[in-house]
Amino acid sequence: MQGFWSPATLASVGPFDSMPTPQPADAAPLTPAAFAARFRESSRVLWCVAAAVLGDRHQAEDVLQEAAMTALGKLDTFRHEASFVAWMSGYVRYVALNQRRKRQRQADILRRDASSMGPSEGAEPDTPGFDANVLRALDSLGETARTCLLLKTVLELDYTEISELLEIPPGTAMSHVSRARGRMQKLLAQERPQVGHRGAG
Amino acid sequence: MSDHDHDPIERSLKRQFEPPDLGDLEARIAAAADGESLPDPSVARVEPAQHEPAANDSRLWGLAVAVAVAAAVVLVLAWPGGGDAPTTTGPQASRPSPPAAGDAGPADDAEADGGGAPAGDGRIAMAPTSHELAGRQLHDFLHGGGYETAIPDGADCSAQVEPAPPSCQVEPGAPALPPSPDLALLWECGGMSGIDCAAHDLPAQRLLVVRHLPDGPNVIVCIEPPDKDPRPELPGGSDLNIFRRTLGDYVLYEVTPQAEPAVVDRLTI
Repeated sequence: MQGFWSPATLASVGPFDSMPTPQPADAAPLTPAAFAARFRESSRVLWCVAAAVLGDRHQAEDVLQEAAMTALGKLDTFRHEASFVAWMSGYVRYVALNQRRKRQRQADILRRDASSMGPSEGAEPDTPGFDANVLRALDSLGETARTCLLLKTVLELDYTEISELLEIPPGTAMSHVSRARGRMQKLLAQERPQVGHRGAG
Repeated sequence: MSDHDHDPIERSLKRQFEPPDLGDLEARIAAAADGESLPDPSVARVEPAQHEPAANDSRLWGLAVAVAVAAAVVLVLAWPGGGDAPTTTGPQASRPSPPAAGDAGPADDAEADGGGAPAGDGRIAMAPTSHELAGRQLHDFLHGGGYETAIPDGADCSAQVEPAPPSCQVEPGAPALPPSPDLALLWECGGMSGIDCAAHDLPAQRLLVVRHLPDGPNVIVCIEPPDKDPRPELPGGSDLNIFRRTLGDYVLYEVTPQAEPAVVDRLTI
């Protein structure tokens, strides 16, 4: 892992509204109590990562709890030069990805018997049908793209924060968000052409 | 496209993914942390996890060895051709891997921790050494295919899977298996995986099951600190081979049905 939240990095990105504060490089070992405190600071971001990898919000809290309990037993693997939230994010993404895979297998089985689950055609924005279509479109994205998009859109993190959190270059984060938006626009436009075209429809 | 064009979608995403009040979860984690202020955290009582919780290695290791020793006594008697006395050397005994010859070669293997002395004929009823037990556990795990149900989808460090699991983002100084088009990581325990190897009766601090694509065979790669190296010895009659090397501060060995190592040499730091 690279050195997250170095003073130079912090100076370049400015204050954070959503991200937790960095750990000083010379900090004492992470104690369980310190873990709990830093988890409290990071929980919203980590929940969003879990929800993004899962593709919905329903199991995000369970995943976050499982990841936290796993990480709590691995405090000796935390390196203080790293960002706590980036370190925790690794556990969250791993647990969430496994959970998603299990769910997908179950869904595959169900789909054999219920192949008629299609999109809600023509759903108006800000309606349950539209939200369902957005979820389907979101689900078609890769995990990293989904996570970048939600961190940017929901938590309004900047690209530097996203890149440090997910250990990808800022430009890659930006590209993921841009392409994810474009893909969702395209998919939703197929169902409701006026979405994304101001004044149309 | 302007940001305004995305408003309906972004409003929907915000509506559907606004984090809930996580106060209860934070309190549960804080309570668990309080309970774990002692050196031996008991994570399991709090978390109904799908993965085994991270455990205190030494205690679980001891428990696993104790259970495994008992199980192995039964296995020794039930092993095909059980009348043959297991030996510490044989056609499938540990062999060194040519590259990166290090300080943990076969000569060191003979330096057993009290249980590795060669036995003569008629040792059928004796408990296996810890090395033989470890070898048997690895043999059985690789052939049993338990990893295919432990996490059926496994983990893949290649670019197709996003995000790469934590094992693909190993800590500084720890060996990692770089993505390769001819290898797939099927399963792992230890490291940052959140899966405890001892809970699967595996004598390893970190273990990878790797498949040669497209159709196999599967091999095991273990990554051990030297002081935790179980120095496994495969059971008599095993069709597997062990190849060892050192890398950085770690001892690596590959358990494979092939005559040559093909994975262990690819790990890098």
